Amino acid sequence: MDSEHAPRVHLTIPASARYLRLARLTAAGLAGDLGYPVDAIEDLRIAVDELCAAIIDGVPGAASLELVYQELAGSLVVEGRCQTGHESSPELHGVARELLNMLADEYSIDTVDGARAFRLVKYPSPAGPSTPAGAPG
Amino acid sequence: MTSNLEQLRIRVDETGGSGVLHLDGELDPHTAPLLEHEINARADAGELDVVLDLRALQFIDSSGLRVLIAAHRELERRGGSLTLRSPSETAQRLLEITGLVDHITIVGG
Repeated sequence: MDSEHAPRVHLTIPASARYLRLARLTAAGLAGDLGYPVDAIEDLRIAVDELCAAIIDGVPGAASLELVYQELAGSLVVEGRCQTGHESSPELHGVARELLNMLADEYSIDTVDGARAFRLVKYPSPAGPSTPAGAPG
Repeated sequence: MTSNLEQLRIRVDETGGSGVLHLDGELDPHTAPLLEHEINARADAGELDVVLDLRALQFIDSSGLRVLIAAHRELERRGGSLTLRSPSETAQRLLEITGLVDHITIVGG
């Protein structure tokens, strides 16, 4: 299946730390289905958790965190968005930033039109995209 | 005594006179305050040598690490210590990649 038609998984949860576990579980489940090794799945769980935590930090209790997971060009891309109603930039604590720099292949976090957003890319291996099934070794 | 939170259970084992806190579940922004409260309460009660058994810890992130770092510093400041016992594979990996293994006592790995 080409990336343009790869299914997207949408998850909307309350913007509360109580529900971060669901974001992690979804990421781990999808990565497992894609054949990611255990370490990469663990990296992804932590990275998704850190970015979600950063964009929901301090937002009103009624806000929602919208997540989209999609396989793209051999990677798993996770995008998150939380409407905060004001232009407060998300903050990454030093340890969180350190972990993301080590565990995520690519990530960005920003505020756009009153919403905090992130984009995370994780490949199954440190070398980048895995070799497609059936391709010569 | 058991403190039961749906995502993190902290079981206190007083066998042998010194309490060990067994963590079972996930340490994240939702549950980290619970651990922080538990450690602070014990320290305020004079129990300054805290042992955390991490064999059943299924997840830990920066919020959990910050609680460990803060507890380590505060207990040391007060003349005590923080020891991490038998960290799970998940916990051990994070402790290693962040370099905390060089700063906090870890036993039974």
